[in-house]
Amino acid sequence: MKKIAFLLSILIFLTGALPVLAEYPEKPITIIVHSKPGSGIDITARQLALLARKYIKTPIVVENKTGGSGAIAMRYVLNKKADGYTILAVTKSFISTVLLTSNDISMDDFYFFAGMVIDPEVLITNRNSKVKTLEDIIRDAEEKNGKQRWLGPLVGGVDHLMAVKTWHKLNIRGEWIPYEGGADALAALMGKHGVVYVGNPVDVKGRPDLMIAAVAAKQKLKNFPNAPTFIEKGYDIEDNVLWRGFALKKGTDPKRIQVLEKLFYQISKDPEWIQFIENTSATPVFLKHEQFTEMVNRDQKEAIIYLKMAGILKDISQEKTSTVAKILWIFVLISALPLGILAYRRKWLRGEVVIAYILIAISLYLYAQTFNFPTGKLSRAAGPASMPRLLIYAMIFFSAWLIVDLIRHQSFVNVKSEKKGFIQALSLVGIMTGYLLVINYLGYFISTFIFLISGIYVMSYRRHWIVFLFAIGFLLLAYVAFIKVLQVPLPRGIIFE
Amino acid sequence: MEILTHLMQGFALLANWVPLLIIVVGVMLGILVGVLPGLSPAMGVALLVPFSYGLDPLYGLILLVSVYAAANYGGTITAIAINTPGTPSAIVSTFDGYPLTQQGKPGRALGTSVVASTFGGFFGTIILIFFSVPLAKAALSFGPAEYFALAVFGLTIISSLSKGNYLKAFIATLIGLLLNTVGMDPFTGYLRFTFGIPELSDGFSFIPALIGLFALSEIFLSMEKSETVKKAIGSVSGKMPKVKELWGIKRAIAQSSVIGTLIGVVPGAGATIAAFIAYNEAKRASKNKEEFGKGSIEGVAAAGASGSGSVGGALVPLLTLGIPGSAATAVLIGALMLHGISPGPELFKEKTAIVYGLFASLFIAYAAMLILGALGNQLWIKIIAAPKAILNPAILAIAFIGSYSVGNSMFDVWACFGFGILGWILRRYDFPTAPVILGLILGFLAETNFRRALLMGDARIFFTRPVSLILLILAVLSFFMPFIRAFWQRKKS
Repeated sequence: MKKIAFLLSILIFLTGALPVLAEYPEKPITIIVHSKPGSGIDITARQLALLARKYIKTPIVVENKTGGSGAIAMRYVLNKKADGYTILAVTKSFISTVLLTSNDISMDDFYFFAGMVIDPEVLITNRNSKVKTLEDIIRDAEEKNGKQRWLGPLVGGVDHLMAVKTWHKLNIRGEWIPYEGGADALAALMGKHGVVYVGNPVDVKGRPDLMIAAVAAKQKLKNFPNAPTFIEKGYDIEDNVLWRGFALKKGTDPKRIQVLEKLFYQISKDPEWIQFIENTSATPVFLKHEQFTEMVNRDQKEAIIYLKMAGILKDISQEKTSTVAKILWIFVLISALPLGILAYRRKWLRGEVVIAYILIAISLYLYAQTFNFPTGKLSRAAGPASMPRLLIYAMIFFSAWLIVDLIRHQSFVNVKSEKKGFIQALSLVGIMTGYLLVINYLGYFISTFIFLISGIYVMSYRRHWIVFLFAIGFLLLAYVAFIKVLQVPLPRGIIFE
Repeated sequence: MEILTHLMQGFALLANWVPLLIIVVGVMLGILVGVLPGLSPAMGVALLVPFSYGLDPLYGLILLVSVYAAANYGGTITAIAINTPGTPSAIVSTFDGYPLTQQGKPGRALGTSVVASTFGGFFGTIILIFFSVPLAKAALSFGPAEYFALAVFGLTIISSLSKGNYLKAFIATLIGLLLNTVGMDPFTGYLRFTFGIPELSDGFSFIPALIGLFALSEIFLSMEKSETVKKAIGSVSGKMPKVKELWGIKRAIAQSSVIGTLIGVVPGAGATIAAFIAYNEAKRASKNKEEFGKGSIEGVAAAGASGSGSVGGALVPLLTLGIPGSAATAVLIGALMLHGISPGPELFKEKTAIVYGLFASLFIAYAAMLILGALGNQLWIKIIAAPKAILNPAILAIAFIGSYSVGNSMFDVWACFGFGILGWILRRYDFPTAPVILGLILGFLAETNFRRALLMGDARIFFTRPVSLILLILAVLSFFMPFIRAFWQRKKS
């Protein structure tokens, strides 16, 4: 089967696609993934890259640009040229990211060209607990009067919004208990620390203690025929799906988009791909640009509604800094000068005192910042500002104590410092700074070579041949280990791009 | 006894040169992943996932598990040799391992580490095979209150890391805890203290901080103190510890293996916390407390045994419940799914051969690790003997590549450099850097669970749940113990 498919693809390649492919793609295409290696979307993208080899000569490589719930990856793609060589792996959670944290990015900046996977949202309960079915959930919610615990990831994320929607449609109230990730929340559900988990069918797979209480899809799930849909139970939640797909920066040449569309369509029909997606209990699909964009827009509209309903959107836009904290901070800064002079005269001005003083100033500055933090509908004690403030109080207390203690006992540290060594260390810091500054221009290999050699010379080592051979050897090793084996994309340098 | 027959069948499955070769290659790669700072066990496993997909499911899995099993040990090598923890859990190995290297006895430290790691690994595997079901159930009862108490218990270790100056150790811990609050709030997604820098939205990556605070600060500080730069250490001895010596620290090894395994079982706690707690307990139980921090092989053993023990522990919830207990097992779960295997209770019934083949492979992997580790030690010792003038810039260059590969971003490299200078300044004035790391590790666990517990109830929850209460009492005792002991000693004299 595989061989036939492969031969067929070669045939297609030789006859039809040839004239187009001769122009594009002529170098590797990169898929940017926003999460860590091993995450769901990362594995999906890697599998896709693997299967693409059947249909296209130029390799597709996957690169992880993690951080900011996808904001870093989105920004990275938008900073690249719209030449079709950088593809962004997108998922529904990007909507919340754009709405909540990134004012400078919009979903409209992207051209969504292929929706590849959809995965219905489901409510999951613990079979061994009293609350199992949708009816149980409603009854229990009324009994607990808003204290029913719903588990899942981040406030304002896809799953939380699904929960808010469910509460709205079922006319109940619950408490959203956020966890770091799906797995942690699932463990909490198994340990009965909460009642409902919002997730996808895959979460139940292989976990007989868990069951699906309701499915947010029109049709029943193939693998879970006993799980009822919301519609069957008489509630109007019919089409809440988590989607995964691929997008380009807007403004990419339509001809190139066409090539990619064709390639991704072919992959979406590949039996290996279908098997792979079904292994994760999701549904393989192919949504073209129009359908995909429509779905994205619809979900975005809905997300805004429920973000407002949850009181999150309104919360974020507030900005206020306590004037008291600001004044305190300015006071600390102003007091630094006379205190410093006084301290210098009495020989109190030692490193430790300065460090403690700086720590107090930084703490106060951060304290002023905490007044901007919204609570995101969490109580004050559980809000984002609670822990930082606690730490800031402790930091100010202990730093002040340290200053008093040091001056009272005159117990300063005698810093062992040799003048020659100190200068050498400082020069190494300087060289390192220079190295990090030039690396973007000269690329990893040239700048590292210069860095190693100058670093070793600064440390007054003078056996030229050893130094030279060592630097070459090091770079060879780095090339083989990191670029060839581990595929870390080390900076190539602007002048070579 | 059914388990034993299954296990025998598992070994029989592997009695073939292909799986054995896969295990040996996996262990080698694992040690390499551990040695390279910046590549955590989780990333090492993740990088091999696509490759394993081409293999038979059992073979693919044993490859990944062998990498995971050996990576924690690999991390201790660089911790001991150049004060650069290759994996987060190996920080603890720097406490006593690096002093031993400075005394010219790296062989002792490296040898102890590999033996203790192997023992911890064996122990964790045995627990995994025989007690996984009840342990997994117990781990599930850990709610936010218990996690918070565990984090507090972990934080009390600073009193024994402080080397006398408690005030400075507290401040260092607070620096770590505060740095940890930078970035996206895990509950609301609000960006705290990021000052509009997008790269800060996920906070400071852990590995660059680690490399900076330990390896870079050590370089700058040792240069400033002008310890002979041209030659590393007077004479480097590759002598391994004697069997008698190792027998003498059997208690530290066994105890740390237990702690490592048990904490590994609790999802989200992980190898690093296990290593810190095991170190603290080993010190407390030891007859030679004053040697800790100056080159005690008990300390080295505690770090190694608990790190490897946590591997078996982390596999417990993964296999029995399908819940990953660590970052690396989170990747493993994805790999299992790729092969069409769903971890969970049914796995033991439906895919008995795979499960027990996996168990058997762990034993073989640890045996391979012992041999490869013992052989490899001589190579590492050669590296340590290189002149510092070459070693120092080389470590800086490795620090670069290690921090860069965490997220393919220059920002992490700058952060690592910044942490290096911060570490230099702090250590210059006798602020210990280990508590900064402890704060960075435990801050997240403490904050999220503190807030989650408050969302679920009120502050009483910490004292009404038995496990949480016991942990908190232990924390208070463990925190004040050094003070009380010091007070008694002063009174005596």
